[in-house]
Amino acid sequence: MNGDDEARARFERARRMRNYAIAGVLLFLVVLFFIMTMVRLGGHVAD
Amino acid sequence: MTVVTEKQQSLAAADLNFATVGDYFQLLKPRVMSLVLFTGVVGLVLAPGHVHIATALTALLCIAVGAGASGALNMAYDADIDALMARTKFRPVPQGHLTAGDATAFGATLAVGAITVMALLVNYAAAALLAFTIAFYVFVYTMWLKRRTPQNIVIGGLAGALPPAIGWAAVTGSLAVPPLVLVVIIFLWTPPHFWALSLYRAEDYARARVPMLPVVSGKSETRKQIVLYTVLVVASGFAPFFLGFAGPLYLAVNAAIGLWFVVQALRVARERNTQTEPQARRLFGVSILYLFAVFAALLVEQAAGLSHLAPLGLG
Repeated sequence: MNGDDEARARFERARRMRNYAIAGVLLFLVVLFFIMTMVRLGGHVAD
Repeated sequence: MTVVTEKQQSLAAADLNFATVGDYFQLLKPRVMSLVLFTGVVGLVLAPGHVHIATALTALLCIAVGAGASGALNMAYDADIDALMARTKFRPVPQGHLTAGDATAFGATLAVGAITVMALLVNYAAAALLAFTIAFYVFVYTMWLKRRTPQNIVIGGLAGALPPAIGWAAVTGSLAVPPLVLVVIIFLWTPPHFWALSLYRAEDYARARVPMLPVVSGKSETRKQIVLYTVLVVASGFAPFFLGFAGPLYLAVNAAIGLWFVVQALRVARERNTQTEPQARRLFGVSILYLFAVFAALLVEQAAGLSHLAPLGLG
């Protein structure tokens, strides 16, 4: 593996990890908004 | 004619944008964030009333992310001076791991996100205070004061002092005397904390032309100011007891560690080793310990039911 290939591999790994991090944050926000919606509705969901 | 292959384009992009998740995490200034979060927790726990645990955790998350956003925007704007200082030259932007534009976009996204989530899921008062805090840190401290006046960290310290008020507002939707007293304590604590650092980093600040007090007025004047502000912060630290929202444990902690804080400030005032500044280094650590101890005492008293404030109800 030459230098360019190594740099490309590092770049792609960094990009992949960043994408996982962004996906994780978005998933967390989905869960957070779901939980907070339930909290705010409280026992009045069926009203 | 030069033919640019897809691989070359990709590598060029890699050179410009090789940031890892760790680089972005470093932009958040995690150590500063932890202290901000801790003081925010105290404001939230001291607040009277009832709040669901999920709402409380969301508020704390927004405070933490807002602090991180401020750090990222600060690192984006200050990349030029960070590159000149030994303490900051390994930050991601001066290292070239990402551009100032990347850091700005990251910080702005987090700031808008934290304020929006706070407004939607907690309340507007806490969101407005968080927005004010971030704006004050970025526009007033970073962009205006930091490079212009030795009072930069005195006035700019307000941004770092506000988290207890945000925590309180997250529960009550308003402000009151107790959180404002905590804000005053942190506000007065900030100058001796940062001036201790600037004493042993004075050459760094001079090289970067940041007008910190030792650079502009000299180390002798800085030592006097450190003693003055340390006495002020410890004296103001008694206010929670005399105003009735702290008990004997808090009083004892503020008296004991406050005395240590003042004694250490006096040692800095008498320092003769102006090269390595060992007493200033020690004061930096003692100042952190002081703030942690007095706020922890408030937390312990509240948890043990020793506080005169009504306990926070967590659902």
